[in-house]
Amino acid sequence: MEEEVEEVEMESVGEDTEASGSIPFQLQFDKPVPFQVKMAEWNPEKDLLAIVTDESKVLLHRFNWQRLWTIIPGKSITSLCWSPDGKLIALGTEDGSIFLHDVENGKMLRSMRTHDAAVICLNWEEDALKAVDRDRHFVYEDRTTRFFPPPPQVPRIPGLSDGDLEETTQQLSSVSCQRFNILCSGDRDGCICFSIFGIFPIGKINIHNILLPNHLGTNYQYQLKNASISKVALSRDLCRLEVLCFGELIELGTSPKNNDTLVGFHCLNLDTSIFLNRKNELHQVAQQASNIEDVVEVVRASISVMSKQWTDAMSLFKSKFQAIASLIAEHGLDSNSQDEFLSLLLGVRTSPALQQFLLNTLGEAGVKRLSKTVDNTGKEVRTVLNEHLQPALEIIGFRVGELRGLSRWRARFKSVGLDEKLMDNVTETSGMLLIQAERFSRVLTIVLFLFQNFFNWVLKCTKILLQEPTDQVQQANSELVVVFLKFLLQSDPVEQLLEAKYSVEVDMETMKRIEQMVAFGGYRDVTFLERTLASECNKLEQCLKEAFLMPFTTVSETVACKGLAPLFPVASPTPSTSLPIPMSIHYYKDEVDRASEIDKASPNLTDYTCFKVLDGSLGLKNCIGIVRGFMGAGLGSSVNAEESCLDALLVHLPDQYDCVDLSLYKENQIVLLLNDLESNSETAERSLMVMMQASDLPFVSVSLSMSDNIFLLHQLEDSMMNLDLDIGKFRAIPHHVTVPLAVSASRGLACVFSSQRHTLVYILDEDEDEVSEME
Amino acid sequence: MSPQVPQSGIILGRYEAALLCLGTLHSRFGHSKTALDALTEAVCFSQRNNDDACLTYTLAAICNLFFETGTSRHSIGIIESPHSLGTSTGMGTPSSTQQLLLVLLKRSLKRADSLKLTSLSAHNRLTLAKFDLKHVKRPLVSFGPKASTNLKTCPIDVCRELRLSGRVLTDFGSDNISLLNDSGTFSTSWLKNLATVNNKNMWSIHRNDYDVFNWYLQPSPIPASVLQLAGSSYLLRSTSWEHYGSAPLVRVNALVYATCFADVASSSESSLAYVKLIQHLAVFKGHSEAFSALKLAEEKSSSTSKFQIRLLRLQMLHDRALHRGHLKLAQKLCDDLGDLASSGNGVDMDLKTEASLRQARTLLSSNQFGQAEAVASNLFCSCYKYNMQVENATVLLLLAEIHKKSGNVMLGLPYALASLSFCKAFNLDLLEACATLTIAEIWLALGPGHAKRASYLVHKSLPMILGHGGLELCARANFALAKCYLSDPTFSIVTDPSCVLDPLSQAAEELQILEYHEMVAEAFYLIAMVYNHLGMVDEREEAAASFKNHLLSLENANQAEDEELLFY
Repeated sequence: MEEEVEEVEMESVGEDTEASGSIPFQLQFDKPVPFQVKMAEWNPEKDLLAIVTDESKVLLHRFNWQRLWTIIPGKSITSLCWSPDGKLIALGTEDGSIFLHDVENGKMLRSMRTHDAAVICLNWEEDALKAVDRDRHFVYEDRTTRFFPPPPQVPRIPGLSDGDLEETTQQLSSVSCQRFNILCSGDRDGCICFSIFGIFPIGKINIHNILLPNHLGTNYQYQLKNASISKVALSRDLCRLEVLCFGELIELGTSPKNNDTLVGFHCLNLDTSIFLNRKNELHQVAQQASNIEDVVEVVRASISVMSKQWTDAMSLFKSKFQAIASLIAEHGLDSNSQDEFLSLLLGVRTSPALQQFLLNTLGEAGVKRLSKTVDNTGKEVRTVLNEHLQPALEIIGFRVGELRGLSRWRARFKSVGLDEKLMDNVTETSGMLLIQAERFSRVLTIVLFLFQNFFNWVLKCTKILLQEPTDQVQQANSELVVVFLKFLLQSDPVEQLLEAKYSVEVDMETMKRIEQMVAFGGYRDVTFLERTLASECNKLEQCLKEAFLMPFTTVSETVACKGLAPLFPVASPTPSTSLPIPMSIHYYKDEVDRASEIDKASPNLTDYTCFKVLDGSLGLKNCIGIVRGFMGAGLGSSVNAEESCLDALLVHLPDQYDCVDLSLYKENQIVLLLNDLESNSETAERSLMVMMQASDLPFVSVSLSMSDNIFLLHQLEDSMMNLDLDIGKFRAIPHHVTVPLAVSASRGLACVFSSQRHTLVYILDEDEDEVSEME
Repeated sequence: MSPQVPQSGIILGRYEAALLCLGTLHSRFGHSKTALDALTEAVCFSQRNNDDACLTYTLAAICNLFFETGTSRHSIGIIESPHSLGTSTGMGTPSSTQQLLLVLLKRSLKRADSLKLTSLSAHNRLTLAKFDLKHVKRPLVSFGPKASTNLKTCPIDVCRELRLSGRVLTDFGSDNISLLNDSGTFSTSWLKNLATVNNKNMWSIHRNDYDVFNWYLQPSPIPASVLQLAGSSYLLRSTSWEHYGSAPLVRVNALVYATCFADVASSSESSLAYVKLIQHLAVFKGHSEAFSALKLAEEKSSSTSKFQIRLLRLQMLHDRALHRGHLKLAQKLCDDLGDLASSGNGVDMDLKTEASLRQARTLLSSNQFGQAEAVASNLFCSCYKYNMQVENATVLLLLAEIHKKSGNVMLGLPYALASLSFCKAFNLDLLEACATLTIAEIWLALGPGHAKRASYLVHKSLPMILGHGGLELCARANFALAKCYLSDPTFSIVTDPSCVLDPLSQAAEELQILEYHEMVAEAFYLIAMVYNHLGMVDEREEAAASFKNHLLSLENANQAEDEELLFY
C-alpha cells in the first residue's frame, strides 16, 4: 500500500513538471490520509492546516504534512475556525459549546457553552482597519502589568501534579496584548453569539426575534421562522455581519396564505456597527472583564483547595479523638471529652478513659504524627492564602477599580452598557472580600497556634503519664488549652469560613466598629462580616455576572437587521438542511466607485457571496449563485427603498460536472471544485478545480424591491450564464474529490481531499511562488 | 515602627544590646547624631562578639534613622561612618546616600532572613517598600555601554515587598520567640475577658459562664507587635496607591486596616488610617461629609494622635477656605501649618513642603502671581536639595499652574512637561493625568487653533481622572472638555449640544458639592450661554439665576469669612 502511494505521488509530480508551462496550479504533494475529512482550515498566519475528521478528531498538519498534534475532544465537532492571529483554534460542537485550543500543543484553553444547539458556523474577525480619527483613538494602557507581578495561578491540590493548569491561565492572560477581534458563531436554532477575543461574550441575538425590513416600500415586515444559521461573516471593519440562513419567511400582520413559497435560503445584513464605533471601549471592558473572570476563577479554586485540605486534616483529627467518647462510655462515665481534658488540665484527676486514650489509643507517636499533619496542612493552606488568594484579590480590586473608573465616563461607556451602579457594587464586594481574607488569615493563624499549643500540652501529659522526662517538650499555655477545648474541640471556625452555608457570629464590639466606619466611608452593608469567605466570594461572582450582563444585553440590543435578500426557495426543507450546502462569503477591497454608496465609516469593502443552488429549487439544476454588494445595498440606500439593488449572477455549470465545494479566494476569485460525473475509474481526469475572476463576470443588477417573485434567483433565471471552462484557469485532478476545499488566501494554497482518502495540495498562486523562489 | 528590641538571642554580650536600645531611644527623641554614635558602636561590638542578631537589628535601626531624618545630602557624612565599618562594597566609588541606604537595608534584610527573625524581616521589607515607592533603583555597578539603566521606579517590587511583609503572620510561631517571650500579657487579658463575660451575663444564672464565651471575643494569642507589622503593610499599600493612583484601593486598604487591625493598632497608625479615610471622603464626597467624619475621629483620637488629626483639620479647613474664596482665613491656616511643620521635634520636611505648597496655592488664588512663583521656586530648590523627587513633580505642576493663570501661558508649558516626565518616572499616574490636563488647558489658552490637540489630551487623561480623581479634578476635566468643544471652530453647538452641556452640568454639580463658588459660577455662565445660543429661554434663565447666586455667595465670602475667622 505504502509503495503504491509513493508511486502515485511520483507520477503526479512528474506529470506536473512536464507540463508546468500549460497547467496552472502546481501540485505540491499528494499524500494519503487514513480517515475521512469533514472540515479543514488553513491557519491565516502560518502554513498550518487544521483538519477535523469524521470521527471528530482534530489534527494539525504542517505544510510538509508533518503532523503536529492530534486531539480527540470527545464531542461531535460541527464547525472550525482560526483566530485571526493564528494562535487559537475555535471548535464548535454539536451540543452548542465552543472550545478554544492552543495551536502550539492542542491543549484546550477555554470552553464556553454559549449556544443551545449545534454550532454550525464560526467566524473570527480582527479589526483590520486602522483608526482614521486620531481623536477618537487614544492608546489605552492596562496598568495592571505595571503595578502587579503576574497574576497567581490556580493552586494545585498537593499530590495531583497537573501541569496543564499553569499554562492555561498564562495563555489566557496573554490576551491583553491582542488586537481587538470578535468571534461570531451561529447555531442550528438561529442564534448568533459574539464574543470579544473569543472569550468574553458580548452579545447574543436570535434571528427569530429580529424584525426584517422589506424593500417593498409597504409597512410589512418580515420575521423568520424555524431558521438555522448556515454561515456568518463579519466584515473586516466589524461593522456589518452577513448571515446566510435557512428558514421560513413570514410576513407580519398577514395571515399565512401560501407559505410554502417562502421557505428557503435567505441572506441577512445585520448592522453590528457598535463593534466599530465603540471598539476602544469594548476592547477595554473585555480586556479587564476577562482578566477579572480569570482571577476570580483562581479565588474560587483557592477557596475550594483550602477547604479540601483543611477538612481532610480535621476529619483525621476528629476520627482520632472520637475514640475518647467511646472510651468514656465504656468506662461508664457521665461526661464528655472536653470535661475530661479540662479536669486533666486543672490537675483534678486523670480519668482512666482519658489515660487509656492517651497511652494506648493515641500514644506518643500518634500525638506527634497528628501534630505534624495539622501543622503541615496549616502551612499548605497558608501558602494558598498567601500566594494565590490574597494576590488574586488584590488584582481583582485593582482591575475592578479601573473598570469602575471607566464606568464613570458615561459619555463613552454608557453606550456599551458599563453601568456605574453595578460597578460600584462590584467594587464594594471586592473590597469586602479583601477584609474577609484578612480575617480568615487571622483566624487561621490563631487556630493553628491553638492546635500547636494543645498538641504540646497533650504530648506533655502523655509523657508525664509515661513517667518520661518532659524537658524536650515545648511549654504549653494553659489558658490557650482552655480556649482550645472550649472552641476547637467541637467546632471548626476555619472550616466555617471556607463554606458558604454557614453564617458567622460577629461580636458586638466589632459590629459597633463597623457601623462607625460607615461615617468614614466604610461599607454601607454592615453585616458583611456575618458572611463567610466563601459566601462573599459567591456574592462577588454574582455581582460580576450582573455587571457584565449589562454590556451583553446592551450590545445585543443594538444589533439590527438592515437588509434582507431571500436567495432561493427550497421545496422540501427536511433533508436538504441537514446537508451543508457549499457557500462562501468574502469581503474585498473595492476597486470600483461603489464606495460612495457604502457607509463612509467603512469604505472600500465589497462583499461577495457565492453559494451552490440546491438542485430542484425553482427548477434549476447544477447552478451556483453569486451576489455582490448586498451589504452595501442595504446600508447605502436605506432611505430610499426603491433604489436598493445589488449585483447578482446565476451560473449554470456544464451538466457533466457536479459542484462539490466552492470558495472565494483573494482578488475577487472564485475557486470551484467539480466532480466529473461522466468519468469512471479509468479516466485520468476525474474532477476539476476551476478558478475564475468574479469581477469579470457579467453581473446583473437586481432590485431588492421585488413584488411577485420574492426570491432573488427568480429575477436571475433569464440572465443565467452558462459556465464556459475557458474563462478561467482550471486543472484536472486524477481523483474523485469530496468536501472540503480548503483555500488559504495568505499562502495561495488549496487543499483538496479525494474520496480515496488522499490529500492534494495545490499552489494556486504562481506569482507568489515565484516571489518566494526569488527570495 | 521601630523594630522590636530583641530579648532573646543576645546571650553573648548585653553591651551591644544596651547600645542598640540607647540608639533607638535617641533617634526616637530626635537626637540623630547621638543616636548614630550609639548605633555605630553597637555595630562594632556586635561584630566583635559575633552577635548576628543584634547586628541585624542595629542595621535596621540605622536604616530607620536615615529614613526619619531624610536621605538628604548632609547626612552623607553621618552615613559614611557605619558604611566604612565593614559594610563597604569596597568599590571605592562614592555612591549616593540612597544607594548606601539601600545597601544597608538589603544587608539587614538578608541577615534577618537567614537568622529567621521574621518580625524584623517583615519590618525591613516594609522599609524597603517605602524606599522603592519613592526612589529609582539604579544598579550599583554600571559599567560600559551595555549596562541598561531603567530610570523608573518599580511598582512591582513595592507590591512584592508588601506582600512578603504581610506574611509575618505566616511564620509567626515558627520562630518560637513569641512563646518564649510570653510575659503574661496574654494571661492578663484572658482573665480580664473572663471577668467582663461574667459581669455581662449576671442575669443568666442558669447558664454556665463558660458557655457564653464568643470565639471571636477571645483575646488573640498573637502578639500585638506581629499584628501591627501585618497591619502596617496595608497602610503602606494605601499610601502607595495614593501615589500610583487607584482611589478604590486607597480606600479599601485603609478600611482593611481600620476593620481588622483596629484592636491592636498603635494610636498613631490607627489615626493614620482614619486620616486616609477622611481625606478620601473630602476629595470624593465633599467637605461636609469629611468634616462630620473628622469630628468623630477627633472624639476617638487619643492625645498622642492629636497631632495627625490636628494637621488633617488644618489641611481640610485650608482646602475649604480656598474653595469658598476665604483667602484671609486660608492665609492664616497656612501660617498655622508652617508652625506645625517646625515644632519642637525638629523640622518635618514633608510637612514643611506641604505648608509651602499650600502657601503658594493661597497666593495663587489671591492672584499674587509673583509671590506665588517665588514661594514655589524656593520650594523646588529645597526639594531638589533634599532629593524629594516625588514632591518635585507636584511643585513643577504648581509652577505651571501659576504661569498659566498669570497670563504667561507659554512659560507654563515647560514646567508642565517637566512635571509630566517626573510623573512618568515615578509612576504617579494620577498626577500625570493632572499634568496632561494642565497642558491641555495651556493649549486651550493659546487659542482655538489648538482646540483639537487640547481635546486629544483631555480625552487621554479622562479615564484616569474620572476613575481616580477627586471631585475638583473631575470638574476641571469636564470643564476643559466642554471648553475644547466650544473653542473648536469646526464644532457646531446646535447639532450636538449634549456634548457640551453634559460635562458642564456634571462639573457644576461636582463643584457645588465643594462649594467652589468661583468655578461653579463660571460653569453656569457657560451653560447659560449655550442655552442662549440654542434659544432655550427657560433653561437659560435658570442657569443665569444659578450663576448669579454663586457670584453673590462669592461676594459674600468676606462676611462669612469673618465669622469663620472668629469661629476658628
